[in-house]
Amino acid sequence: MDTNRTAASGQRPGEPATAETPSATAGGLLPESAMDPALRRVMAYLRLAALTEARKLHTAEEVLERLEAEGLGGEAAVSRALELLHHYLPPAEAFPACLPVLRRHMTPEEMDRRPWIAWLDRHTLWPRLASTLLFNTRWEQVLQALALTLFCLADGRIDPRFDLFL
Amino acid sequence: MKSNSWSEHKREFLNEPWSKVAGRRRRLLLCIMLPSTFTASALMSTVLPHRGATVLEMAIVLVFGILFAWISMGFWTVVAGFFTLLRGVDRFTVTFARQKEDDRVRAHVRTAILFPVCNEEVRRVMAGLRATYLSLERTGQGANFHFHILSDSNDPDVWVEEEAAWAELCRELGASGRIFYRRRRVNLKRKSGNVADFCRRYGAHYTYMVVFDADSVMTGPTLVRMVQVMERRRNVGILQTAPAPVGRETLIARVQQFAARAYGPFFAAGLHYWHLGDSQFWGHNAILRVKPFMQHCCLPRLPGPPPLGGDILSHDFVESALMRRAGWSVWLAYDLPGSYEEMPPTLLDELKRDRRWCQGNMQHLRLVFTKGLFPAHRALFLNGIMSYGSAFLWFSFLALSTVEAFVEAMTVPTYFPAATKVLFFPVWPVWPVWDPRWAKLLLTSTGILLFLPKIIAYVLLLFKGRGRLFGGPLSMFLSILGEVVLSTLLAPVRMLFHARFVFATLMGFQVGWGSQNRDDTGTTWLDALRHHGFGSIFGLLWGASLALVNPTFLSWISPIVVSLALAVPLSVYTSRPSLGLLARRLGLFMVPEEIDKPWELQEVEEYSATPSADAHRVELSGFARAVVDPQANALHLRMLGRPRSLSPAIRQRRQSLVDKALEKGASALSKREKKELLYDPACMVQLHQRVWAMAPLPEGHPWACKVLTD
Repeated sequence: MDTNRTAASGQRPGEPATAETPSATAGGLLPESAMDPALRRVMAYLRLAALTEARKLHTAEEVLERLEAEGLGGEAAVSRALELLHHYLPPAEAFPACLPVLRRHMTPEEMDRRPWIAWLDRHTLWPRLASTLLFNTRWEQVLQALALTLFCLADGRIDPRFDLFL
Repeated sequence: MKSNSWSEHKREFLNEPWSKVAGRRRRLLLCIMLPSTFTASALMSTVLPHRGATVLEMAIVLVFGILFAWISMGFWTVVAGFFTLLRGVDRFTVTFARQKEDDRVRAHVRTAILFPVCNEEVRRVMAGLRATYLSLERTGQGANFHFHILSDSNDPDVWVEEEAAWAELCRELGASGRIFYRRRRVNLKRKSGNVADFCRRYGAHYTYMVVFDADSVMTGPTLVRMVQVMERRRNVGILQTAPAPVGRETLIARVQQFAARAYGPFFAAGLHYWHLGDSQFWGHNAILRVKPFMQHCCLPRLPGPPPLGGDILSHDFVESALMRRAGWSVWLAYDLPGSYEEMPPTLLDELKRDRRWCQGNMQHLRLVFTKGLFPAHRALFLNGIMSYGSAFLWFSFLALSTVEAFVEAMTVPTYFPAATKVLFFPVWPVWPVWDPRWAKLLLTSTGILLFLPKIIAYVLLLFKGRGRLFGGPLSMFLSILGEVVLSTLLAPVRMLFHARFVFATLMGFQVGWGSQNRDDTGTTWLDALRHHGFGSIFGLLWGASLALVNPTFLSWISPIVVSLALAVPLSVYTSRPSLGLLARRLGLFMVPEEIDKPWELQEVEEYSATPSADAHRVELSGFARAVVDPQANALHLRMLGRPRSLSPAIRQRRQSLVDKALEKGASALSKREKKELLYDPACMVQLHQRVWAMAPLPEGHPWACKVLTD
């Protein structure tokens, strides 16, 4: 996480970058009032951070020492203080643990919602095969032809002896 | 053909002793139901002017017969439950065992308690989890249980709050490694997909899992007992408890809580009497055996578009049917206390939930004939369909009866039909006779089927000395009267909505999947008018036209017409917590959990009422909190894991979103934009650092908050 932060802020891991605008009083002691906003912001941040009190104190000390050494003041100090803080901030402690993944499969079983279709398929295998092999025709069409023949027979359009069409 | 892992020769635990008893009981139910239905239908046909001789009257008699069978099944279920509870000992109860056998739980057995949530009120979910956790700790067996919050929340603010609340709870309870949080990016298959995703990732860690709803609470002893039962009876795949509804203050919710607590145990015992090991899974407050669940209960998508195709919405019924198909039994532990849930607070919320359930149950029309299912589960599918289909049938019955009334009033009766003529000369006239005595007899018998169960419940509760838990005999009697009046008034309103839902579902209109409202906020007049206005106008027009054409028939259906006309004020007033609290002060609609509140429910109430200490610290919530609060930000980054490589176009778009957020604040971002930033660790780091690096912010700045302005 720290690596991400450092990378995102455009710094190399390691020592913090130096300030771009050196103060006139660089190297010297700044009056407390000049550092107040930066100090307050650092303290506000650390109050919210998930660290032990000792770690917070240590981090604040490090940031302020460095800030004092750089001799920044005012608004630039706030920005620089937070930059330094994010560098010196140790990894957050006491995150809740995550359970290791133990991956398994879970796939749906077959759900034949219309078993009569399968039943029909199963039980019409022979007529289908026969109609295909004997007549080179779909069995539904063979059935259709048979039904038509029967209808014509009943209607008297076909001679029952099959030798004459009326 | 693909081999079935559930095929009969591979089914587990067949020929169990209870199955023959269950078969006998179900045949008995049919023997009682069918003759009474035929008698009532015959009586109905004699009530009609043409003795059921016309097509219209045949349709009326047919619909009436189906409805009568439906309500008589409910009646006999309560009667069976009454005798079961009166006897006090049920040898087929799944929890029935000697104490020594019960205590044996294998050392390696771990149970996961799942909280699938979707944009729920975070504090309330955590309160339920916390109460259950603490209750388990009190039993001394908490170490064998893990809690998993399975989030499907797509609201970025809720997402951040869930993470923060989880971390806070882990910190408070010292439960890191016992309470886990996982959020899905893609909400495939909704709740069933969420649970299935858990099973795929973490299911192998556990022997059992207990599925909770967002508002569920269970006591530690009950959870331990459920595990013991599952350990003792290795043929049980799912063990469902009968959750008691509690915790609501609106009038309608209190009335339903009372009804569920007063009559519910009878109904549950009755269901158990007929179902035994062929029972149903209700989706929550139940324990499941993980391995067979993973093997047999994964749900496919139904072919075709929603609402009847697509994801299976009412997954629980299907899962129990599949579990049973594989040979594992499914039981309803109706006698296990300590299982709680919450009711929808208003009529409109209830109807919103019903619309979802209706669509889910209607989908079961496509599953009724699925190969390999047990007949009992096919019947349960039909039962679920009838839960809403009955409203449609009732509406059809009323519509057909109205048409009949119109036809009779507007056509001239034929006194000399052809059958009575001899040589074209009329011999004797046929008078249209309508004997109201038969109609009253029919109405009375229907009333008995509907209301006798309530009297039975009252008598048995007093007999068992449990009247005190409902506020005393007088309060209980008045509460039952009030419940009867209110349910009678609301029944036509519900009927109209359910009929519309069924019709809409069958016509192919889909429903949305929103989270359930769990606040006692009440219904506004505008909302009520928008949703019930059509029904009220319909009722008034119906009544007015009948008053003009056939006033006699109007007197018969006046309760329905009046209820529909009053739907708007009924919906508003029953949703008011003030009326619910007034009823409470009067000692009405009390439930045992109010008289003697369980410790767990007290904990839930207190925790829900207390604001989160962490949120209070930063005075921010949601996305803004993930940006500003160092803890929330760090936790969120940790949960995201490694950053993904992005194309330059996406990177550029996200950078512009970061700039927009910094300039205009979190409120200027849409939900989609917030989600996009929340998914990107680099953006969240950048936002966090740049917001903190801003100079002390003046009042009115988009990022001005307590911690940044001080």
